[in-house]
Amino acid sequence: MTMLEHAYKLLPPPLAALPAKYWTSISLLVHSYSVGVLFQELVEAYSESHSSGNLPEPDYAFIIGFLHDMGQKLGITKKRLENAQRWVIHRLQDIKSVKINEREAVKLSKYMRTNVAETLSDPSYSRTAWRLLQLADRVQGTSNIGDIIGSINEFKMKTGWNVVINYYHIATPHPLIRYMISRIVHKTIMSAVRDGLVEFALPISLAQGLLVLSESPIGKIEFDWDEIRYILRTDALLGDAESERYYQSIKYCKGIGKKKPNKFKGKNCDPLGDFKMSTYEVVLLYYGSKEKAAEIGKEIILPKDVVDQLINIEIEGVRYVSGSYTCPFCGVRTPVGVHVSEIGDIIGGIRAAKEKWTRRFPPVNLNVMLRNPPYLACPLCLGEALLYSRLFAKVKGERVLVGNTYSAPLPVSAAYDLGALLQHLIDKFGNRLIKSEKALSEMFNVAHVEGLPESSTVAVDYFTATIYGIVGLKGEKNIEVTVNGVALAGLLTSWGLYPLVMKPDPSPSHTDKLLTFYKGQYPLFDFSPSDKQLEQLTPYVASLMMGMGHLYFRKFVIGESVPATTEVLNYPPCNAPLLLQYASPQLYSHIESLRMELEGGEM
Amino acid sequence: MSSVDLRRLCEYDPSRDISYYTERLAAFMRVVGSSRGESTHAYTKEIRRALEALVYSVWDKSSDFLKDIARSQIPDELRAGELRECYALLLEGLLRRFSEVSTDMPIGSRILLMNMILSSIAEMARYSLPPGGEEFLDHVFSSISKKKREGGESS
Repeated sequence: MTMLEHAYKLLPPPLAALPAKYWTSISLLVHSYSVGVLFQELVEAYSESHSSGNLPEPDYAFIIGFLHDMGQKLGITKKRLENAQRWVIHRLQDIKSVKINEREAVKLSKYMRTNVAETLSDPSYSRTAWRLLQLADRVQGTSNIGDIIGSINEFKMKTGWNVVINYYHIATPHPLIRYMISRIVHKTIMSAVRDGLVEFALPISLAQGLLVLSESPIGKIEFDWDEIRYILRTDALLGDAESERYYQSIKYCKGIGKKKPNKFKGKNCDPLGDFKMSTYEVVLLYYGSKEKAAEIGKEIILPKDVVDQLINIEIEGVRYVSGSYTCPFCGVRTPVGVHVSEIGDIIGGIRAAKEKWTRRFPPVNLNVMLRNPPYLACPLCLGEALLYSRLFAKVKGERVLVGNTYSAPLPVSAAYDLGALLQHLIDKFGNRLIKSEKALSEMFNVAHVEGLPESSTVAVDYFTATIYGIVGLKGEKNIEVTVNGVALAGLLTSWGLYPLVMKPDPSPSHTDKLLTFYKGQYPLFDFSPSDKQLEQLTPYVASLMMGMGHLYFRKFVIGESVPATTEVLNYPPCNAPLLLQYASPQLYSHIESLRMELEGGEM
Repeated sequence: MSSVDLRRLCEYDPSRDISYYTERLAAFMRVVGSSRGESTHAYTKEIRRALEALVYSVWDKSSDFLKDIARSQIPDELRAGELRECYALLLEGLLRRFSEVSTDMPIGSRILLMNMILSSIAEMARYSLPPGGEEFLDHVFSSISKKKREGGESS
């Protein structure tokens, strides 16, 4: 069961958007949620292997972990503490999935008074319990893998619990392929736990790899290339129908087939690369259905550079060879590959629209240059394009990949829950944000978490702590698409899911900015929420982005005369409360009344 | 609440955001504007004139005139001395904060921001007054009526 309902009851949107750290952009909600989940999982794992020890119940462990920083980070001073405690008691009793009575709620609310992860001195549970919480907090509080390992080693020394650190990573510059492989690695580890080969495994997703805590070493993860081929479970990455078409095309190239297959291109029959394989053959061999690929009768070969990118991971049935061709997308030297234009064909209708001339090489048309040796798109870039086209296969409107990247570590289960929430919010509200104020403020209703679908299409790259969401932005006019996109970013930010990168293609790097949007460059969301001067403004900025939907509604749906719509984005973030009063007084009132309830009135 | 406290609530304080003043002026305009009609103009007439005087006429030497502009734009509907004083202080605070936040802006952005402020005050006054504004209104009027009562009893 996810603990998201607990989290959002205690810190409802848009207050969830308040930041937690000065060194990186992470919301208080995500930080508290991650610490809560990690503490809960550590408590469960510890109590399985140790019979003694006064530890909290798992549900309570989550709430204690969630509350540990709240008093401190919300800046609740002595005067306002009672108010905040009353808020927590009231909200805890309001949780539907678990019944918490008043006595228990009062007891739990005391954990927001002091930070037990730092003091370690609360008598209600054993010191080991607080050491577990301290570990959870420290692991979440740094981006440096050395610091994390240091904290774990210190914990081992003090508690005598001999946990082992396992580390996995693939440092390839292909975000979607990396995501696929991280999923396979995670699945393999979890099935080892289910089969009893490993006693427990606690995977934590870092910005630079996957760290797994266990009691005995897990060792190298091995899997077959076919697992990459069938990552989408239903059929091969190329698709069964497409595999058949490629197979027929290969036959036609050889002069066996009589009827010309659909979309056939003669140039895709050219033998390319060091192993003289045609584009059709390469695509089918690497990503086509298993039966059809077997008929080609050749082995899978990857560039030699790739083997250096794998840490503690081995792909079986693959030979690594250094090649004499260059992939123009990722830069590796590859022995096999496909025509560069094939990537555009797969992604869907992307053609070189402009003449691009390069001055670096002897003056030549770039499009013409890339068409000929020594340039070939490598098999991993091909896989990236195929996965991209499959992810967006049913998406209508402007394709946008919403990337939610974290520099701070996330426990894999927390990342999964947040991923499910992100996609759920996109599916439910993605293109419905041009609305009246009342409809917009209803989107802050925590009830949306209760209805989280069980098997949602969650795309989380565990190797880089990145959550992906897929949306097709719709709109009759360009401005409508922009407003929908920015308002969606505002909604996700209000729920604490930032920093966001919204672009048609996945971004391989991390950012600290609240939002990187593929249209235009505006100062309002081009700020880092970890900025000490601006941190308190994040809920206002998030709501303002949503409020743009209301401004658009007033201007273009009702036909009212309003002074500005998208222009509100041109102002620096320090004006966000004022601009929110303009864009949507109701959303402004919503934030103010929540703050009043939590912190007490100003007067 | 004494008049000293009321003054403290209304006067200019650099730690207060500009939204503090717009919210409380909207509370005043809710009372004043409701007897005038439904238009934005009915709810923002004086504030618009004050902001326009600041932006169009005295921008470069504004600090000398802010007090005078604020005092010359008090709605006639406000009769009680404390209310007029309170309103003038809020308006002065708004003008001062507005000139601070928009000092580095190009003139077009400044005028657009001014229009957005006026639109927001009208919207808040007419339809949804934020909780801070409601609370402020309660304080102001309970303070005035208490004072009147005390005055009545002593005389």
